[in-house]
Amino acid sequence: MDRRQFVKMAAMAAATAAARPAMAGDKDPVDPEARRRVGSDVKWDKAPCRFCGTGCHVQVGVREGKVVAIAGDRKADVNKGLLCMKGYHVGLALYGKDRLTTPLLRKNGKLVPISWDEALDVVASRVEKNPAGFAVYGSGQWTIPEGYAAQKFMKGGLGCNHIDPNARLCMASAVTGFLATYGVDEPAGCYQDLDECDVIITWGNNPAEMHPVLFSRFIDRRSRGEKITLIDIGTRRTRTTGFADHYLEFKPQGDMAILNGIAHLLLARGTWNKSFVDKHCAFRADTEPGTLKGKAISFDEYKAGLAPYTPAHCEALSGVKASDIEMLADLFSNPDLRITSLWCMGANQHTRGTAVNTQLHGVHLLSGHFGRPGDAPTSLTGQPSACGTAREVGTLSHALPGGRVVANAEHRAQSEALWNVPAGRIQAKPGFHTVKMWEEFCKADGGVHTIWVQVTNPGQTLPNAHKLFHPSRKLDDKFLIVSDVYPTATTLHADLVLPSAMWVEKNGLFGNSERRTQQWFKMVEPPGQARDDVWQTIAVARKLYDRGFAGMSDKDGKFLFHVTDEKNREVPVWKWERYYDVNVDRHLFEEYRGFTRLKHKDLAPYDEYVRSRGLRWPVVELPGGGWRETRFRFSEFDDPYVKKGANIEFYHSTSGDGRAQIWFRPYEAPPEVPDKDYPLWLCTGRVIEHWHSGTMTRRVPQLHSAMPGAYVEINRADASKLGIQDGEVVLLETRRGKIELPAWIDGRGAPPAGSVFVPFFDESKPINELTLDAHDPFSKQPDYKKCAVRLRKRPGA
Amino acid sequence: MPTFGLVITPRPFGDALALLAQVPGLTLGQGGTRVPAVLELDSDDPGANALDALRDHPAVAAVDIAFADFSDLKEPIDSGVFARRRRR
Repeated sequence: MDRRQFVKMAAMAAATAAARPAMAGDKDPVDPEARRRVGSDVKWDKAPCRFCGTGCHVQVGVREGKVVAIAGDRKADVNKGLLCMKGYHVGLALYGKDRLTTPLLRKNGKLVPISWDEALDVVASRVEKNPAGFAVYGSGQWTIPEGYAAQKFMKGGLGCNHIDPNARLCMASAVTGFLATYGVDEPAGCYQDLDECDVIITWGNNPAEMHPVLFSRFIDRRSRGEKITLIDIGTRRTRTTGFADHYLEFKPQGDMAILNGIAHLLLARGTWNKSFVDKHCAFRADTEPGTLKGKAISFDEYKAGLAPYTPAHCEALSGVKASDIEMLADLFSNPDLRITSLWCMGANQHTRGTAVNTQLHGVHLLSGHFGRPGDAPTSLTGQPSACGTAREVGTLSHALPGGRVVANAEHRAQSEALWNVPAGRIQAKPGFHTVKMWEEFCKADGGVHTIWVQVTNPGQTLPNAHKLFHPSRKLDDKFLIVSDVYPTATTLHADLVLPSAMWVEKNGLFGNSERRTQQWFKMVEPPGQARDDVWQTIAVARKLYDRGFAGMSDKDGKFLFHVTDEKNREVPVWKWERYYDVNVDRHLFEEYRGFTRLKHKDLAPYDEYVRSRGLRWPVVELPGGGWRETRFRFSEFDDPYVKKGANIEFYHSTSGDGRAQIWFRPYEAPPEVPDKDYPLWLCTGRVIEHWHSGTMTRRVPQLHSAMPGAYVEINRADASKLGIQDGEVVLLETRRGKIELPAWIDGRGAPPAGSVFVPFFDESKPINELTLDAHDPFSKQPDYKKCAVRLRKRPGA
Repeated sequence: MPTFGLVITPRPFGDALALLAQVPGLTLGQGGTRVPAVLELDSDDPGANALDALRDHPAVAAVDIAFADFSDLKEPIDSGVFARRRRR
């Protein structure tokens, strides 16, 4: 490209130009030059990106019923026009050659096409077989209406609580951490914290690859010359480490010791924030058996618990130098600094995940680094609607929408009233959480006979798959239904496959990591007979209703998903050809809004989200009209629910006095540690090029060629000891399984000697056949980040 | 003030991003081997000099426009990675 061409193209390139925040509101979301480049016949509209939990907005260009261009949305505060490499390719993910386009039923061992009517009959019959043994396994990639419809179908219709999302594997420990600390889920702060902090600490977190556009805020500030300190605390060097001022490498599970070491020093030095703690905090410790509320302890008991966690002791437990733990304590001791902690799977996929999450909150509370912009303990989510759908809609097996739980009689009564179903319809006993659900499915006499999987790929992502997934496929009368957009490791083994619409082929709403609810409209038709997941749920519900299944009627005998038009006439939305006669998403969302006001998670009317690039809850109506979002919860200057004069108020405090809980959590050893037979640590995770199990991104040639296959990252010293060369295929083995992988020495990430890393995106190299299903006692979230493994040269090599 | 959305391919050496971060008006995102970026220009600068300088910057291997235009896509895409399963 010569200079003239370059200047011409660059002039057209402003489609994704990032606006400074002050400029974001008044500009065209798509640059006029970009509009001209793709042509005036291309219609642009907004949507959140389909992939990670950051919640970037894209502009989607559509011509003649096809998505033809993607640009960053210049009006979006989240990403200010930037996108990562996955985001730029999100439109292409619709157009893979092997999209699922017709229902498929396994007959004589083979999946054969059937009609939708037959497929719906099959699902309905599986429900009728025994509703108490029917389960739904969903996703943090469900849209809010999809999760809400499935939730209502199961808990309000079947009276069965066996519904759980893959988010159980992703952020359940963050939920229990928030509940145990504040009595209510989700971060208090927002992404603005990243613009205002002096220090960012990443705890077992690699946002440079996993939340790249969010990490751009940090890079942007640095590039403008701002002094901002990044401390990366991890078990392996990553791309985030490359930008860090300090890298602190800890032994797996050592995060618990580091956090106790910081708290110990704050107390020993007298540099904890006495005023903040006196006014706003209380202390807690575990009981036996453990509960999320634990027991109240005194400050002196808390201090005594921490007494053994001297820097030297914590160095021995964590491997992090005592001087580095002191350096962290110095930072938290300084009230003039603003400190943001970020964490994600490192803290969550942890057999002590709830404990670590509460420790992270505890260090911020103890030091008073809370409640000011930039001072925030912030857990990030991995999926685009883990917050919006799994956490807020409450699609977990113990939960109900709006922060309600099935075990609470008042909550059940509120939910039954909002759904207008008979008292007693919702069962009090929590359903099976993810690991338990799949265990039961894999036992001949287990409590689950059928699982309907929606928007996820458990055949590749469940831990210890030889125990939790494969056995069910050899059992008679265990029936697996999968709604998906492409063939996957799960559809491969399914009994019934339902082809789904994807992203802008349907209406949708997501909720991102900063409590921001985001809406989009259907822009193109799905291929073949692929249909919306919401429709699939409603259509099955209608089948049951027509068969006289009592649970599909409300108290007045109306269909559970009774949808009316503007003249209050029922619209038969269970008929696909009528489904888009009305906006079913709007209907479900407005019904769901009734729940959100029960725990100060208020959402605005649907149409407010149509106009905006998302709003962060609680969203409250202003006296003069209009709606106002909340950036900083629990802080009087921004949160409308904090009492005047309180400054900070934790209004869902578990101690009932407006206080947050600072927990004492003793260090505990990992569930499995390397030994002479399995001498290395195994850690698993994602890569920047691929979304989760790669079923969408691996079909995009550009992304596939950038990262074509999984590998095992090995430290050079270990490779040398084992005589392994870079690129050589090696055998990786745990007590649960084995696979072969090419070795990558001095690769993108750098594990320390004694540990290896394997990404899980590659279906042909299913690392989750090796991982551990041991899980946190409160969140039930398994640990994918540490187990014992051995590495050998391939036999005969 | 004109702004340009770009995707920069840095040259493969360790300090490339650090060098790019020094470019006035350039906001870097994080994108692995292809880094989203924004270049802001003075309103009285037609852009040619700054963009030309960026193209010639020692840390830059390539600069592309920053939006995906696949309007010429005629056939469904196929990375080939799942072809073997389709044949099964």
